[in-house]
Amino acid sequence: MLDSGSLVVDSVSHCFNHTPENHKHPHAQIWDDETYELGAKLLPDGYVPSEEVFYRNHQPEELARLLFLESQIDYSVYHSLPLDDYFHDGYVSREKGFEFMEQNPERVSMYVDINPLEDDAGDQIEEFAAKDGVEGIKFYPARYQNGNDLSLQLTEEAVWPLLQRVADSEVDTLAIHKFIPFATAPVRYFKPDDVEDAANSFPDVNFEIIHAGFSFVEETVLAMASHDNVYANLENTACLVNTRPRKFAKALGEMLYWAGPDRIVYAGGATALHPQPPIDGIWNFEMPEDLIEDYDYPEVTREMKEKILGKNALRLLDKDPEQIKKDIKGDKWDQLRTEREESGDFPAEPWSTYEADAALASDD
Amino acid sequence: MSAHTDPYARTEEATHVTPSTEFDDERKTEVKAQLDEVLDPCSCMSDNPISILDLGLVESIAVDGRDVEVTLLLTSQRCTYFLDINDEVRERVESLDEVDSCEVHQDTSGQIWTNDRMSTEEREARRQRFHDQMDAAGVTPYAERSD
Repeated sequence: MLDSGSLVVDSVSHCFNHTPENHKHPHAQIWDDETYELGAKLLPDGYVPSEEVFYRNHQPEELARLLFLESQIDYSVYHSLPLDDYFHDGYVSREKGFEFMEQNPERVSMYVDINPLEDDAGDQIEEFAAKDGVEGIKFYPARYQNGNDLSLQLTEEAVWPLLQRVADSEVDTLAIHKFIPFATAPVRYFKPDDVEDAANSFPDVNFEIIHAGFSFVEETVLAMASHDNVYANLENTACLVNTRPRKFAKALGEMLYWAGPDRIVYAGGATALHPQPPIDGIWNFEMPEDLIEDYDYPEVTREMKEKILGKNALRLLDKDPEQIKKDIKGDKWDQLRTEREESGDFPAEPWSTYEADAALASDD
Repeated sequence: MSAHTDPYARTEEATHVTPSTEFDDERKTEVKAQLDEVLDPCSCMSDNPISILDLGLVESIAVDGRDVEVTLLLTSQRCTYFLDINDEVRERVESLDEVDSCEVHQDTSGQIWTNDRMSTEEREARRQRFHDQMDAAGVTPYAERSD
């Protein structure tokens, strides 16, 4: 919870499995290593995990402690991932997501991954969307299959009919990874042009573009400004507020100028990243004077920050903030937070709730 | 509207090779002209093809006797089109009378390609297209709405 009393909602969390046993493809190790290096680049000093903490099969209990004891996050949306072309369990398994949600029903929702190339993908969407706590479907824009990188843009013939299945299902939101290329897939797969077409044709579905602002900012802003059902999810991008503040300021400034503050959502990206630094960074962020002067970017008010850090996400999830506050008051995490606050230990030190000898990466 | 100003325009002098880079060595100027003919393969799939020089991929041009080395900073370290770009650069540069061989290297210094490396002309054209698309979509910027 913010100092103002407003809830902090994390729009993406994962329980990654970075163990060698999970590797299914020769590039899986590269993927693991690049995910680690991304954190090392995006996190401030003191928040990069040790390799012992990072390279493990993260469990729901560990994720819960990381989010609810080491950060101000009150509510989280777990995204499972469909990367079973590289990892046996998809990299972030559905099973751990449902376990995480079951253990924390008042604090967690879930977006379920779907591989559009599976024959029963449409039925899976219908089935998972009907489950309690599932609020969205998650797609990836490419898939490695039979030695090729296949495009899974929303406009592909294999994918487009599934958008109707989402529209007909009990969830309102489709999230899609964009902007950060991976493996050998061409960069063009990570542009958001297809989202515009989809948002236009399916106005009752919300399209949440993950990693918005990381690249292709103008294309993203165009999609957001011309379609009320396009949302910018700041997973990873939010970290730039600390490590590349001018880049963050311009991306946020463009979004605010053209599309306004109501469809931008913070995401922490745990367990790959520590979720607290971007919360502090956004809460303390001020738009640089020269960017206001040169580009007409608005001042970033406290009201806007509360929207980005929680209120927008709750509206997207159709959750009442006051009801959430009532539901989590006095629960296990609230009690543990209160104890820590009384002893001056909240948020807990980065990665300190993990059981490892050296939780932080050394400076060597 | 001051937001029509491009926030991604380059504000500092480029350290890489741009269309306006001037060389004392005439051969480097000729190599640069050849690189301006090599189109970025990804951009060829869009409505606006752009050369690798305009895109800001050319980090340096070095000439040693009749041998040329071109270093490229790609938009992605694992660009799958590097081999195609490499082949076309070599073919074009080696076609010059003063050149025996051309090698193409990938910059691996850790620096990242950013869109302010694009040439001023391409950035301006790109920004103009962005505004044209906003106008075509009937978008009034949120910050300028009166309601």
